[in-house]
Amino acid sequence: MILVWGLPQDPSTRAVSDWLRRWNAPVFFLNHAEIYRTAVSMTTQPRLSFEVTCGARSCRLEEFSAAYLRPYNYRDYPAPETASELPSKPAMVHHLISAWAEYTPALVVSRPSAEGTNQSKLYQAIEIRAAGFLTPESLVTNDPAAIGEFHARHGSLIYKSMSNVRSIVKELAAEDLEGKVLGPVQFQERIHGQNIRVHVAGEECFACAIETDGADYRYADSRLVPTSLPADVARRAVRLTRRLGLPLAGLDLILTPSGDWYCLEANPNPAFACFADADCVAQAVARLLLEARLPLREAPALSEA
Amino acid sequence: MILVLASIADTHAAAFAGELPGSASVLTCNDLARGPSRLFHPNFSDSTITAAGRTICVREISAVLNLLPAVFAGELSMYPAEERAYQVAELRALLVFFLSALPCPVINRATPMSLTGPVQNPAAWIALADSAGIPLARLSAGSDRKGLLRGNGPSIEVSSIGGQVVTPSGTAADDYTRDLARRGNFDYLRALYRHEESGIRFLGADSYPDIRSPRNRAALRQYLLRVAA
Repeated sequence: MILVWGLPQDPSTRAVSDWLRRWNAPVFFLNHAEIYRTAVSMTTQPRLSFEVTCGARSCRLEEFSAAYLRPYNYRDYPAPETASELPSKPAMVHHLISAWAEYTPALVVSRPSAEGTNQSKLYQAIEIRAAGFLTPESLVTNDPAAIGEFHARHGSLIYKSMSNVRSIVKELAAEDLEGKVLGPVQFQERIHGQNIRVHVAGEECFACAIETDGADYRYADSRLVPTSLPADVARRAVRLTRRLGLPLAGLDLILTPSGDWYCLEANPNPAFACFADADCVAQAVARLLLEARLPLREAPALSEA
Repeated sequence: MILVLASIADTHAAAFAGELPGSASVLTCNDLARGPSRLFHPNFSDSTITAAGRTICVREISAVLNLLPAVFAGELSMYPAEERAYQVAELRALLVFFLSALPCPVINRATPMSLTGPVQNPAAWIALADSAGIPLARLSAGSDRKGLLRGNGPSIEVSSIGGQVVTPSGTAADDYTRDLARRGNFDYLRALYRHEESGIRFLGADSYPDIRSPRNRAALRQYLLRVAA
């Protein structure tokens, strides 16, 4: 049995679910928008067990051999008007499912600890370098003199969040700092080159070149074109994804005119549906989830899908 | 230099730093937000921070005792109220990087999951202990109620520092605590057990170093001085 936890209207969740359905995989779909109707309980007797109930449906988490988790912020959904309509506390639903997801032997796309790696971009940068990619030189400071020196050294800088909150990249202009009370801010040398987004699912890489003039392609006019990666770069991408404990990741790479490969960050739960090859990524994720069942039960021949 | 990372309101942390011979300093979120700091990646060893008004090169730091379970918005009064939630996330991200990049011993090293280590909540401790093969006490939890139900009865407490049990119980709990510390990669771990009819059973744990207990305090001091030497 495979657990899918997310929103039915989310294109990435839907794409993976569609493939699982096509292969007649047994799927328990837990609609995250129904979190106020979802209850989770945990008991340790006779052994550790978690039970999830949503309306009339219920299941035991330990029966799942794989899970695809794309929960959102439950505070975005309207809560029932009266407290008596609340069968459960959404935060506890998250805590309990996360506790199971972190330590279950099932394949989880992705475990909370791996998912958390982009809560600190510079923590991720350490792992990115260890996997063999270059990372931009970065400075975290609240010292205007240090910013000036760093700016002079690199010519053009971008600044962005250290966390995954408000993660919008901007190019630094002199007036950005005027009259500001600065806390520590992350500045990075701006790397110029070809933006390439790579989705890694297990051992497979799906690359897409992004034509854009913006510092952050997500917020600028851009054009997506499927491309392929040199074998050694694909190996590094898979190595990085493994180091981060992720079965699925979206890597933002830049190929410089001198042929260097930089990795800016790894998205641990990528919304891949808007990229070229989205269907291939969805199929690869669905295959990972399905193959996690192989030791339990014979899987259908995937080529017949 | 030994750094004690703590809340500005933690008087125990300040007293503990004062008890360490040689140079030791308390580092707070207030220091990181206000004091000039320069943290570099990938050239982290060139980084400097300001703690208690003194500029410190990260190469001088020989060990860190991490007593900060979270970044508290109340300590960030220098930011407008509407900015503080964002700054909490930013400082947390900075601390995860800083504590991960330091090559010296950090007790305990933060992870992206939590500043105190890899375990986020009481249910996760139960799942971690179960994955380590440690027998569990009768416990239950549900999203329809608050917290974990674990019944009554005296508990056995065992602390481990640097892989050594410092408050041995003389029971299987000592081995279980060592196993749990190894599995979770904790330099400091405090675990609770209950004696049930079937034997010693795991109740819960935490990885926030307890410096209020005289025995733990002495053991932590000794361990820090040893690893910082």
